[in-house]
Amino acid sequence: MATTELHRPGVVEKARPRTKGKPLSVGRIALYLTLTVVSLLMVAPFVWMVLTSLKTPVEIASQDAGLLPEHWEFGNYVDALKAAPFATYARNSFIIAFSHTLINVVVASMAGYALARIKFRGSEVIFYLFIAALMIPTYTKVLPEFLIVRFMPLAGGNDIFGQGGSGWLDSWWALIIPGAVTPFAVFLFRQFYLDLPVELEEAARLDGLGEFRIYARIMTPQVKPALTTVALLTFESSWNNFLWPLLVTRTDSLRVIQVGLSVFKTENGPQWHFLMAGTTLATLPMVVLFLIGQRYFVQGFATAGLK
Amino acid sequence: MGATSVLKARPARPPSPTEHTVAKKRTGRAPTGPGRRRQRAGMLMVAPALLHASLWIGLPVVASVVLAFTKYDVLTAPQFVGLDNFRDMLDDAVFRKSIVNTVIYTFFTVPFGMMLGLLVALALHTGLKARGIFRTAVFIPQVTATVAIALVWLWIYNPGNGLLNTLLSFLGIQGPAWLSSTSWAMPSVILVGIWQGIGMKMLIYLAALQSLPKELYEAASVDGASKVRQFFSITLPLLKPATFFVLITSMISAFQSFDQIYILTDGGPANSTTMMTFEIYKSAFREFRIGYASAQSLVLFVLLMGFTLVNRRIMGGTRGHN
Amino acid sequence: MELKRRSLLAAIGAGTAAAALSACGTGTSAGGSADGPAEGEITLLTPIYEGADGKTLLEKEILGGFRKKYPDVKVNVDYTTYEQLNEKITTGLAGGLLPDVLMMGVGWIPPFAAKKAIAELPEKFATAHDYEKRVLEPSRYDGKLYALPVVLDTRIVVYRKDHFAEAGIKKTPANWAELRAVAKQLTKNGRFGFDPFSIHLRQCWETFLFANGGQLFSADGKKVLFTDARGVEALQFFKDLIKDGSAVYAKKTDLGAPTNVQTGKASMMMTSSALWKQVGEQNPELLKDDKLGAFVLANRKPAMLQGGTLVTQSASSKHPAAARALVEYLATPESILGAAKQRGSVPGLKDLSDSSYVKENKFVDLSLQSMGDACSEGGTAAWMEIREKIKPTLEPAIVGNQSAKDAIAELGRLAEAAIGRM
Repeated sequence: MATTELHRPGVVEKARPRTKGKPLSVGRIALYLTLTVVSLLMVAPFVWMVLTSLKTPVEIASQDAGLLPEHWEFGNYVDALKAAPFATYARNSFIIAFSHTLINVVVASMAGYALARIKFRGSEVIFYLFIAALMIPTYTKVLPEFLIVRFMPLAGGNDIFGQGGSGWLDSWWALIIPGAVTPFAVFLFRQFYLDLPVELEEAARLDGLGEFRIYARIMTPQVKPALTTVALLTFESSWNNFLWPLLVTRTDSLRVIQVGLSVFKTENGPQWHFLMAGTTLATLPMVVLFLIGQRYFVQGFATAGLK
Repeated sequence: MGATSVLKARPARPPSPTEHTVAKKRTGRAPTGPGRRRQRAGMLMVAPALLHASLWIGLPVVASVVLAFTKYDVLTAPQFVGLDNFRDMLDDAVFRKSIVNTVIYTFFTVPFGMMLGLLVALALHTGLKARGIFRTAVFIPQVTATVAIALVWLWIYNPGNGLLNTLLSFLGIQGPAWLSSTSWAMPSVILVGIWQGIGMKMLIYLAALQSLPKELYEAASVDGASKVRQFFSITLPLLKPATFFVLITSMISAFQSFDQIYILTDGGPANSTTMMTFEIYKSAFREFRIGYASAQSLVLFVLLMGFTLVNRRIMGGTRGHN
Repeated sequence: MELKRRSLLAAIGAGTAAAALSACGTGTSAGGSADGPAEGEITLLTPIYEGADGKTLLEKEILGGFRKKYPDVKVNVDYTTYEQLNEKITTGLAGGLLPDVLMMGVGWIPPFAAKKAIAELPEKFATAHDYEKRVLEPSRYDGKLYALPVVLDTRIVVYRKDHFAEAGIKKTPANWAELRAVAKQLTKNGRFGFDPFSIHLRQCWETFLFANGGQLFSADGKKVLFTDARGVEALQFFKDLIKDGSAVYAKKTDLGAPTNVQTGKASMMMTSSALWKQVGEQNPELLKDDKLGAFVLANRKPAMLQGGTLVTQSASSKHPAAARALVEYLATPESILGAAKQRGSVPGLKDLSDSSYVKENKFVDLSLQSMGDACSEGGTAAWMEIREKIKPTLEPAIVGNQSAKDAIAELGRLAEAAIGRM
């Protein structure tokens, strides 16, 4: 495990010039040990989930069963997948999470940039409004949001006053639009743009670049870690969303993975082996995505040439 | 809104120790001729996000504020009741308790979580081998299904054969019934909250650390500043926007924590772990008291606003310049 | 200019909110007539028929039969979970789009019927099958029938026959004094005698209240009756068990986890009739060796708390005849038996007491035989609110030092306030 190096060699060189050729010191070993312990604490539930997904119900219920499954029941995965059209659910979740990520990264970074770098009338108030928007709990918003979707004018058989049909309910619109831009992302982008040196944009302005170009070409490439962070977090929370997709859909072909997994949670207690198998399958893409995404955190400050 | 804070929108440059005074002068520039075009560009760039938020958050907020003064059970149309909901709230000992619990929970999870998140981010910012694996490991609680997390913690806290009490018994200590004890349930929930939040805080700190200008460190190294010195005089000040972000978002999410409570304790025992969002959820969706839930939400919002302003004051006050 | 735009936004906001809210009122107004021919496209909202088996049962078998009988009706199924049923119903009601046919728990009927959100059913449905008279009580409001039971779940006491034999106990306790003595006698070697707490504390206390001859509310649902001595005694009994060391609140198990009688940590427990199915999956040897017995809790009288899932019809359905036909069809013996089998629940019809499913499942068999002793929660329009207060209000008496009397009095105060708000 320790030998796995995930970074492209070139990038690694650049990112850690100081550590090159350094012998393993006591401090470093202690650091590795600490990090290993911390990591184990963090992944324990995940590992437990995977192990449980490979046990039989009898074994899960048993008091004196070991941590590892006695017989590795890979069949749980096969059976769990048969319980519902999970391919459809996964596709739907992917479409939603991907759209959310794309829209959020573009729209929120634009807003974050403007709020951080351009002083215009009302910009401060708008920024505070975004922070205030963050403070509204899900359960406060969910009913009014549902009503907006349901009374969306001229959609789903509704007239101009939103009456008569069912609006955006049970449609892709309801699944994608309401959650597409988050105040969280706007706030995060703003904080990252805030720290960029003013020379960068001034130089670009002298070159005659327009505001939008400065944002897109000059400044945004400097906040790649923020882009990655927002992308990862948006995708992850969208993929794991459960309540909203459940509320606004009815048709099976529009349901998402987390709603699909709830077939294993019956009123009289869950079917653990299937639930854990399904949940493992639903979580793995997120883990892989993070493993890939965190690479892009290795990013030097590209302004060296400017100074 | 106050003039001295990190919140203030302004073109900024990293305040390096030597250029501090220069940075100070650059703030608050008045818009001139071409500045007007910039202004318009700024407004246009904010517009899509602002419109989205106005419709999907602003409108629900307006509706909630209106509903806070009504009795609404979704079965019949809302009925204006003036301040009845707020009067009921004064009488509601459980909601009062939930406010206290929420504040306690936030007070413990946020600072400890932030400290740990920053420490882990610093450790994983270095050129460690396998840091990708470590980063992913720390982030995993964020993506692991809440049911799996809750189950493992339920098992850890199990008073009979749980992990925690087994470990304690090696030390000759008889552990308490963590989640069924009115005095231990809250600390137990706080621990889960800290544990689960580290990944996100680490991620943001990590992203911020990656964006710091390396030249400053190189210059400081040449000047012979120690690593510790560098951390306190360069890293920490430069992390201020990120820290502010982490602080505000952690506080908000602590105020809104719901899942742990829902799955670990259901607010019990005897309301010792119930929190404001949990009460709001119960009022709205278990008791069908939408008006009352809206009034409760309003209180939550006002409290959060208050805390945010206090934090802004503190952060603004400790910031060296401006 | 900025200000102007914002005030404009706010104005639009307020307008739309008002439109949305006023529409809720129209949403609950009555639909068409239920006497016409059953036709049209209707929606069924269900928290049961879970999983692949449940889905096959509902869509292939039950709805397959329904389609044959009513070829002009198309049924769309909206599956949800029990935990999110409230959110689905709340949003549906607020949006004026309540599903035509919906399934809900016992205790929900009075609040929904009182607000005319669900439609009255013809009385002939009550006599169409061999219902135990009491089974239909939770389906009624103001004497009228609003729902039909699909599956029932009961709360009974399950005990370990081997523990009883070991201790030389020949018969199951017939009242609380005996129960307390037996529990004490069985508490030894790290084992505790009785686990009443692994079911929801609300349901547990209710069962004890009913067994003590107490009642929750007056018949009209306007008066609180549980604050008398019988309610206090029921709560005090838990405190006594804890004092004896024969019940431990912290050792309760979670839903779906192996229970304390399965693991042998407790000799008796309050549990649901569905435990039989769970044991069959988790510890089949206990059933094979006949180690589990069950009895109905009794003090002044025997009482078995009965909950379950009922099927009812929205008052705003556009195709009331089709909706009514579906309600009727979901409650036929064949449909009920399939659903009960799949979930390990009790089919609420006497006709089915000789079916092989009931004969093989001893907890279900006992429940069906004891249906005369069944009691249900609810009975007031303020039930949704009161039911949430019971557990947190009684818990301080169990985990803390509060007296049973004070806890019950506090609950009574909260319940009266909730009824007063109706």
